[in-house]
Amino acid sequence: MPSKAERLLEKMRNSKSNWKRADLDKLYEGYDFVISHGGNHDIVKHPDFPQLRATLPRHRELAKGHVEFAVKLIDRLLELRKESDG
Amino acid sequence: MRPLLFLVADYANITREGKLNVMGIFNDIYANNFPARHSSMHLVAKLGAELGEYGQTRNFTVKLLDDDGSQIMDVSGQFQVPKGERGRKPEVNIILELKDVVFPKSGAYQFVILVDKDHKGELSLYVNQLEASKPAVE
Repeated sequence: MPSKAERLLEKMRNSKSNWKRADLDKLYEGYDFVISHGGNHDIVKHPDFPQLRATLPRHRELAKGHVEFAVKLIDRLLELRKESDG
Repeated sequence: MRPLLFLVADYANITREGKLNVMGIFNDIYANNFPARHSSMHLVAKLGAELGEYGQTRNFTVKLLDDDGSQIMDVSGQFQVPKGERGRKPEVNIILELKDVVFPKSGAYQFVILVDKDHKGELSLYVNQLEASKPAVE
């Protein structure tokens, strides 16, 4: 059965608009990313794959580009996990 | 706009024929001391237009953020999306020469490009402290 984060990922893959910052936080955290609150923006990093990084604005409303980027980043994470398992 | 290319290089230009030349793409900078000043680099973005954007004017912003999410600099501008002709999807090349950018400390920096406030891409730039050369031991 897919996890909450997997279901959220599929929903975001299907529609990139009208998501809130809190939804994106849940998605990233569901895939073990760590969100740190920085100076002007928040920074998202993955502890196992430090090359996977993103920046997030602090607005409640999110531009769809942030959702597109998150989906791409998580797809890359899944590829990297597969490679390291294989 | 869809991001097709986003990179940083030593040099870039666009020829009269519209070809994009890029030389010396890099992701790392090395410095002896901090704050470190990088005399010149070229940020290159190629964006593809979506239907409905043809012929329109768009605003863009490029931000540079440090490892803690603090903004180091930002550059804004405008571009005109070409009209789609002969059934071709128009593309836009943006080249920004960034001179004397100061990196306060070593670490991972992010360039972020926004078009009309929508996030279009990110690029990591790693600024590294050069290790002091150790004296040779005989």
